[in-house]
Amino acid sequence: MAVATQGSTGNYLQRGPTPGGLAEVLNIILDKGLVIDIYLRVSLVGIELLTVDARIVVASVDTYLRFAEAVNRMDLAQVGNAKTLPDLFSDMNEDVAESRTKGVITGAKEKILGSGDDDDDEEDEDDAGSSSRSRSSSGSRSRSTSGGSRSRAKKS
Amino acid sequence: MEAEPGALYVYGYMRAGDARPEASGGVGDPPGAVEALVEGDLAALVTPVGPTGVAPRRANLLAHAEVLRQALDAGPVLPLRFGIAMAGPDAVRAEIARRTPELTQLLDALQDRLEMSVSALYREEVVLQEVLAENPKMAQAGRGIQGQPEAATHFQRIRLGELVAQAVDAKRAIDGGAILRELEPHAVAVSTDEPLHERMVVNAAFLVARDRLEEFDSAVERVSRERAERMQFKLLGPLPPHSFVGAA
Repeated sequence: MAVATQGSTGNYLQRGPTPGGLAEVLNIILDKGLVIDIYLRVSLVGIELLTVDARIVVASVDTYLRFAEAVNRMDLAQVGNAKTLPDLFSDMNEDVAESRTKGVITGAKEKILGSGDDDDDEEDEDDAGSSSRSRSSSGSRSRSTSGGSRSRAKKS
Repeated sequence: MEAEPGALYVYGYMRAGDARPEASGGVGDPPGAVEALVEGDLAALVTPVGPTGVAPRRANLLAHAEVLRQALDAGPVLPLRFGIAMAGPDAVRAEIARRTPELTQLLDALQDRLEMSVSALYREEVVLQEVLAENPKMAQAGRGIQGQPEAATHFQRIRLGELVAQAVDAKRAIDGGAILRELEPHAVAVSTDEPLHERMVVNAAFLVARDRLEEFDSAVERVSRERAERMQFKLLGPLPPHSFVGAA
């Protein structure tokens, strides 16, 4: 039945039958679908937090610093001169959508993979704790560079 | 985490005649069996919650999506939100019985209708070139931070980044709106989401009739080809109608 089969057209359209990575599956299913009355639910620890905090806040200091850094990397002498820019397109063949989204989704990952420091004060969470340790370095890095990102307000 | 004995993780509902059990592939570690729990003409797809529970992890998120996607091959599916478990079979049956008219109506409405997810990202270099060319003051500010230590230009960077973000937002409003207008005529309904990324132009789910999937695919192909230099598109599907079951 699948019409949209795996594959890409040139490098401007990537097709897939199913979400492949974490960012994609979050985008497809998070906060979506039927719900049931809360009193019928059996608590699955940690999942409730997902709906609250996993969305990415685009208007944030993190975002501003990423844009600024991207500008910093550019050859500003060439701005507006399209004919001298072919080298800028050299990385187009990489999976931009996936690789770029990865960095941004760090905040959600911390929540989902349980490495956040504000949602888990149980010592016996061995599984989640050990497997998330490898990610905690990137988590703390993003915290230290982002300044007030923890308190950033939702702006929509 | 302490899991309640007998608890069932629920993926979604479908018609009893369409629901098929699967030996594995469900949530849990190792991946659990997917059972069809029948109540009247409807069924719930469920997996017993094991002693380690169902953690909000990548594997479980993917399993939730994949169980529903595979079920879609047999007939319409009503996805539940990720992370719902009920006390046991009786609780699930009671919930289905209570909502049977509503669920039946939804299943009928979603017969042969599938979700297609469309997103597009601006190509970074291209959109920044546009923004800086259109805003000489931002280009000037950019020159001001180049070659300077990051710490010394922290607040200039934040200010510049904020201005760039606002300029990209303005482009997003125009470009995203145009993309939606071009694709909407090929779909039954559209549901738009917040951008997941600062360079995301559009992030939308379209409900598409099965016999118009090819037409929709062609429309996305055309829309993306016309914007090939500025954006990169991603098209996922056919998917269960996660965005069209009316979550309150």
